[in-house]
Amino acid sequence: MNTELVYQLIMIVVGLILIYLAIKKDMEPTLLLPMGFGAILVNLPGSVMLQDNAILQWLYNVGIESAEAFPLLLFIGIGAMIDFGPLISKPWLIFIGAAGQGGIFISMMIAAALGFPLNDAASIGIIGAADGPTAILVSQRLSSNYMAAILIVAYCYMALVPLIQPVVLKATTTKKERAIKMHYSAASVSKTTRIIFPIATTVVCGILAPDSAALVGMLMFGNLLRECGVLDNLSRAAQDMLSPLITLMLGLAISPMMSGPQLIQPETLMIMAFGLVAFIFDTACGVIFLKIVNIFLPKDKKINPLIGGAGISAFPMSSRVVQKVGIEANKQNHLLPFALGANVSGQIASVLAGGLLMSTLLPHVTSVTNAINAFGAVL
Amino acid sequence: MIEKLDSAVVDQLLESGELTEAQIDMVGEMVAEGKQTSEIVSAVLEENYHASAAVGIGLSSWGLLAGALGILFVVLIVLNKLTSGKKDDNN
Repeated sequence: MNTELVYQLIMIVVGLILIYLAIKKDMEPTLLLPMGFGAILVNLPGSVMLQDNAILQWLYNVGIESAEAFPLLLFIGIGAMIDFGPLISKPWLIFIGAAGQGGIFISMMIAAALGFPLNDAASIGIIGAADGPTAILVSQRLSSNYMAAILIVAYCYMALVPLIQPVVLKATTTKKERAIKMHYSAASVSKTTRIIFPIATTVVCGILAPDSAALVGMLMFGNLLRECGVLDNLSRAAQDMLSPLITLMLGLAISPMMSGPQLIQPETLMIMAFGLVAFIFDTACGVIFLKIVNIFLPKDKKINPLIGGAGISAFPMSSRVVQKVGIEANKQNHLLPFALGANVSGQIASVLAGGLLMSTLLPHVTSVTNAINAFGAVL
Repeated sequence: MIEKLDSAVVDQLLESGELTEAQIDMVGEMVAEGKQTSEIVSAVLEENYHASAAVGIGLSSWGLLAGALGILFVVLIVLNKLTSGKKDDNN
């Protein structure tokens, strides 16, 4: 049996596992089901699905390669789902988002030190933010060699938030810290503020990190749909229809990258390991940040450091995990409103982090791509 | 390999300041060998950036991120102050 056939068979098994996880374990089914099915389709011996005019290749070309339409459109749906109220009423929570992205940069440095080129290292780091669409956008724009592996790993870890995060949260805090009770006074947020917030955020982020404008813009446009009050039908459609449909398309579109010989490499295993490192660091950085802040706060104003663990993009799973771990330590603890604020700040921060990394590396990647196109025309 | 390109195209590529003549030549060689775009990009990036550059890029990006979110923090404070008196249909 030749090696290519063995790799194809392995990927068919991987496809079956993804379908199993989607159906039996309810792990990100809108993405893992089409990805699993697509993996089987492209790895069938003699499959025509990788030819230029095949539907899956066309979906990839149109939805991902040409303008990253799928991940960007997906952000409209995500934006429509998010209530930024907890963050707007407690603006200090935004700094948890900044701290929480530490895992991206730390794992990028480790990956680069271990020999990954910077475009791959940056793409691997983004896995830590638990933000699938940003991971795919960054790895596509930076022409990473491991886009499919990064996407699979990113979504798998997103689905594993309830398993991974409690372990990290407990390992980085003492029981006494986890039991710190937070007093939440619900502050109402006016509709005007809710409408101005997405517009202001887009303008600020667009000016400071132009490469994040598309990501932040789509996220905030989705949120504006939700908050404007005159497009409720469209807001619901974005949440209930657009988001799952685009995720499904994304899952199918990525499958041409899942051909066995292309995906089965030792580096794929390393990406899985790095993704986990990035994810652990992201959670730990938010927690450690609040522990440092607590050093300077008076005894009665201490912040429960568990909230820092929610400074990633997995919304609202991460907030629920923080609430659950908090309640285990102190039954009267009610961390959810704070965790939700930290969680949505993590969403904005992860998108911005992706934009900033692209801003640094994209000019170089674009120059190389231009050179490739120039040679492509004459050779 | 670079000589196969029109001199105006080469000048344009050099103008960006991101590639040297040797690197353009290397890109040409790799295109001729049928390498994929991602492989070529990675190879040129490896040429241009030492692994230690990741530390600078990582820390500066993290700092910029904190700065950007700091500005958003100020925007949120101002926004809350400006609209705190508004009685329009609180959600």
